Order: sequence, then C-alpha cells, then structure tokens
Amino acid sequence: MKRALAFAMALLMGLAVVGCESSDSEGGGGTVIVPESASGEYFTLGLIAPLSGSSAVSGQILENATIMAVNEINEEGGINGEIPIRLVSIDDEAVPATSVTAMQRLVEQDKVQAVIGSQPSSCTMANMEITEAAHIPQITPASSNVAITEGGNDYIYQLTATDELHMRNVMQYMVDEYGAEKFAILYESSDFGTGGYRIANQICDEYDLEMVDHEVYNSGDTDFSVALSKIKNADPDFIIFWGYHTEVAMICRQMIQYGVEYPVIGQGFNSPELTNLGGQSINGIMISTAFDAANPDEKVQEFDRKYAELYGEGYDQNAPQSYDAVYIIKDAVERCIADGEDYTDSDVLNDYIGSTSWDGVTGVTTFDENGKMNKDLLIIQIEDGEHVIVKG
Amino acid sequence: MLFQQILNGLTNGSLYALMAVGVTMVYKSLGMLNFAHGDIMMVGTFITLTFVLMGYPLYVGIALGVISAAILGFLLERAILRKVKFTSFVNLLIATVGVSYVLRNAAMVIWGTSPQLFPSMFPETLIEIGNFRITPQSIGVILISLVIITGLHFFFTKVKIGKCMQLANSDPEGAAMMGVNVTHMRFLTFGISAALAAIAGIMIAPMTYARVDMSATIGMKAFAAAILGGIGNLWGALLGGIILGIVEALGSAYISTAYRDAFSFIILFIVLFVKPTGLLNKKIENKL
Repeated sequence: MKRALAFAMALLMGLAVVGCESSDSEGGGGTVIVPESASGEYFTLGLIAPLSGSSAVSGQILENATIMAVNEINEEGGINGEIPIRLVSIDDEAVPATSVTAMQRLVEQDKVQAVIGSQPSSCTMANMEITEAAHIPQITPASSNVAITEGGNDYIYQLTATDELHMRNVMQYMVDEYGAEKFAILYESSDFGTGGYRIANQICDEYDLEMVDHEVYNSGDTDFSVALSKIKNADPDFIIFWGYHTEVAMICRQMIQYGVEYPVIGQGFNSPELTNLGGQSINGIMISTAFDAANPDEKVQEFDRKYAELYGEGYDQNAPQSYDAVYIIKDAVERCIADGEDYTDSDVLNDYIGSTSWDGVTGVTTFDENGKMNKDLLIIQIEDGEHVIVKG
Repeated sequence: MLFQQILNGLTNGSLYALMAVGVTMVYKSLGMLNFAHGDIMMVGTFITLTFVLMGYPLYVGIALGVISAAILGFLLERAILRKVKFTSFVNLLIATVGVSYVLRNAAMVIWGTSPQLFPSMFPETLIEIGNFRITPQSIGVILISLVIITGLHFFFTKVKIGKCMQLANSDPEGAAMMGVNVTHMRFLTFGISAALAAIAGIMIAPMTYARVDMSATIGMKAFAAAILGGIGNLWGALLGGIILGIVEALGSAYISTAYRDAFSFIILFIVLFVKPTGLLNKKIENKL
C-alpha cells in the first residue's frame, strides 16, 4: 500500500510537468503564387510562418492576409504595374530549428528578395540570422520581443508594436486624459507579463507617474481577492493590466465584487472572448492596440470587409500588419524604381525599406534606425460590449 | 483582510475537500488514486452547462450533470478498471491516467478549449458585514460541502448499504463471506465518487469558468488534500482540504500570490515529513 502511494505521488508529480506540445512532420513549402508576367520580371517574396503546430491558427491568419495583399497587387499588374509578386510560403511549425532550415530554403533555393515572418519571437530571432547573412530585408509582422531589433541586425524590421510602445501609449494617455499621478500594475507571471512590469517600472518616471503597487498572478488563477485588496489599499489613479483575456475578465468581475473602482487600461487581452466572459463587468476597460476593426477609417473598413469575405470573421492584429508589410515592400521597390535605383540589389532595397513612411491599414508606419516600428497606437474602450476608439 | 482571506480559504478548501472525499473513497476501495477524478468533474460540469444552454433550468441541468458523472464513474469501473483490476496496481493507475487523457481530449473536441461562463446557483449580490464582503456563493459552497460530507459520514456509519460499502472497502474477503457483494459496492463507490466530483465542479465553475483544463490544478489539490488529511479517511479529506485552502489564501496574502499553488504542496511535504500517514490516519494499513 505504501508502495502504491509512493508510486502514485511520483506519477502525480510527473503529470504536473508533462509538456503539451509535440510535432512530427517536417517543415515544407506552403502555397506558392506564380503569376503571369508580361515583362518576364518577378519580385520573389518569401513568407515564413507557423502553418502547422501549436501556433497554426495565428500563422494561417498571417498567411491569409499576405496572400490577400499579394493578389491585390498582382491584379493591378504587380509592383509599379509591371512586376508581379511571386509568393513562396513556408511552414516553420513555430519551432526555431525548423524555422532556420525553412529560411535557408527560402534564401538559397527560392532566391527570395524579401521575407515576411515569422510569428513567434523565438523563430524570428533564430531565422533572422540567415537573412542578415544574405543581406535580405525581413519584416516580421507579429514578433514583438524587443530583442529582435536591439541586436544590431540591419535587415530585420518589426512591424508590430513592442510592449514598450504599448506601455508608453498607455501612460501618455492616462496622464493626458485623466491627469493621473500614480498607478498600480497587475500582471501575469509570464515573459509577457513580467516584461510589461519591467518596462512600466523603467519608464514611469518619464511620465511623472508613481508605481504605488505591483501585483502578479499566474495564468489559470481564479481568485484575485488578495491582489485586489492590496491595490485598493494603495489607492492608485488607475490600474494597468498586462495579461490575457481569461484572467482579465475574471479580475474585472471580482473588482466589482470587492468594490475596487479605478480606471483599467492595458494590453494583451483584446479578444472577442473578453466580452463573452466578462459581460457587464468589463465595461469601461481600455486597451492599447495598433489596429481595431471598429476604426471608421475607410482603409480599415475596406480591409475588414475584404478579409471577412475571403477568409471569414476572426483575425488578430497580425493580419493587417502582414497586409501592410507586403505594401511596405511594394512601396520600397516603387520608390527604388522612381529614383532610378536597382531594387534587385538587396542592400539598396533594404535602405528603402528602412526609410518607409507608409500609410496603411494600421496607420502610418515608420521604422527607427534599429528597424523598430514607430506608430501612433490607438486606445480603445469597451462600452456595452462594443469597441469605441477613444484615442486614434 | 485576514478574515476575508480565511473565508476565501474556507471556500476553496471545502471544494478541495469535496474532491478529496471522492479520491479517498476510491483509494479505500481499490488501493489506488483515480487520476481521472478531476476530468470526471470537468465532464460533469460541461454536461450541466450543455443542458443549461439548451434551455433547461439550472437545477435540472445540475441534476442531469451529476447523474451523468455518476454514470461515467460506473462505466469507468465496469468497462475499464474491472478488467485490469487483478493484474497490478500499476496497470490500474495507468488505466485511470489514460481515461483522464481520453476525457480531456474528447471534451476539447466537443466543447472547445476556451473557457465558458457558468451560471451560479447563488445570487450575485454581496452580503456586507462591516468592511467584509461575502459572496453568497462562498457561504453556499461551504455549507453544501459540509452538509454533503456529514451526510456521507452518516451514510457510511448508519445506513446499511453504506456500512456494507465501508466493510467491502476495508475487508473485501470478510465482507464477501458475510454476504456483501463486493463488486457491487465497488461499483457504487465509483458512482458516488464521480457524482461528488461533478457537484464540486458545478460549484467551482461559476468562480473560475467551465474550462477543459479545470481538472489540472483542482485534481492535484484534491490528491494533496486527501493525502494530507490521511488518505482513506473521510474527515481527513475534509481537514486536508480546508488546511490547503487556508494555507493557500494566507500564503498568497502575506507572502506572495505568485507561489499560491506551491504553498499547498509545501505544507503537504511538511506534514508527510512529520506524520507520514497524514494527519488523521493512525497507522499504515498493510495488507500485503
């Protein structure tokens, strides 16, 4: 009996550490668009994304939006009306090692002239060394890890807001609109959440904000009474949430229960599920985002309508960002041609991408000297389950 | 905050206790832990939710969910465990682990992976006493758990069939000689254990949402609570559950919320170190 118990305990502990991921198939090529070209000239664009494995849904969205943009451009005759885009898409399974092999194939075999991807930061960080060595410009429309553009790689561009950009957006807005002086932050104990806390701690002085409390929770936690009562005692002007929708919806419900009434703003939980789970309790919550389909801007509405028509509802911000990435490359090539430069020289093309100022569906995109995106982000507020843009 | 946290601890603790009672019952009857216990809870919860979403009143949904879970418990015993029973306890354990995975994956296919809102059987309005805010849910959960565990105690000590179950569990050969159908009793044990899990799940879900992975932490806590209190002991399960709940709440309030789940297991190690049989068990029963 004692042995049985010991065995059971061992098994129990084993279960607790069992991972959840396994993938077997080898990375292979995805869709390839080979358009007709009157001039015989092509621009070869590579797309690298997790089309299978744990991040497949997200990768698929990224691919859909890229294909949508490439088809649009090709229908008009191609870049500058004469150079159609040949799209080679490849699956990296969200596995860094696979992503390196896949990138090698794109560069050596398919001779791509620019690359879009990948989605997981770990993959982008692994495969961007290949494009750097080959001097091929690469735009990631989804990987948000700040280290990507901080490593001195001249060929990588990050077309997605880093957490620092979001945090600055949040703080600026609360100072401007609410005259806030002190705040509390409630974040998840993941890389994402602790990264948010670290950034908030670093930059709050720049906005004359004082961090009066910081509380952490684990993904899957269900009782936030401790954190909430500590925050209540600290009496901040607003609370920053840095976590995902499941917990945030629950925290909002418990805030009402425990009578914690402060403005809430943050990032990470912008999901349709938030409204389903939170109901009335998430009314008034504010979110920093680069893109929202509620934006009445004509380009946004057009994109939303077109994407939904082709692939159905339900996409994340990676879709408009990938879509814009294609247009940024198109724009760079066109500017090259207009200046009489040779866009097939990848270093020239890289310089032109670096000097981008493209007004797309996600607003005006520019890159800083490291390739990090500069953009005026939005703040949306949820009112009766609907997104309202309070800062655009 | 202290009072508030003790109350939170009691609420969670009584749910752990309810789950632990089911674990303990099965342990007594088969001498092993049922790793599918948490997943039976999850399936019972989702079945209830499905009936509620189909338009049945909550109480009907709850009744149907609990009955379905009991049937699932019966099936588990009848179709799987009875077949591997006489080989070895390792096979039994692995069989329940397998059932756990099958249930969880089937649930993912049927109900999806995203958490879903679950209706509460208690009103949402808070009861305020001075500075304290108590949810009717907390009071309800504590009372229902206490009533069920006390009820079970009387069932096992006063009601004939309960006494037979108790006997069949502690001394199968003796019980068989007295004319008790041990197989039937074991069958019943699984059914009751599964029904208890479903009740716990139905009370947890309004606070945590119904989610396919809800069994992971709660299932672990149930094992920990059962072992802490002394496995095989009904009151031990109650005591273990409540200690875990309170340690967790106070630990996260006064030390750190990040280590919330760790506190329960730390206290388990300490208790097992000092008293290897758990708090309420006197000696290790050794049938070998």
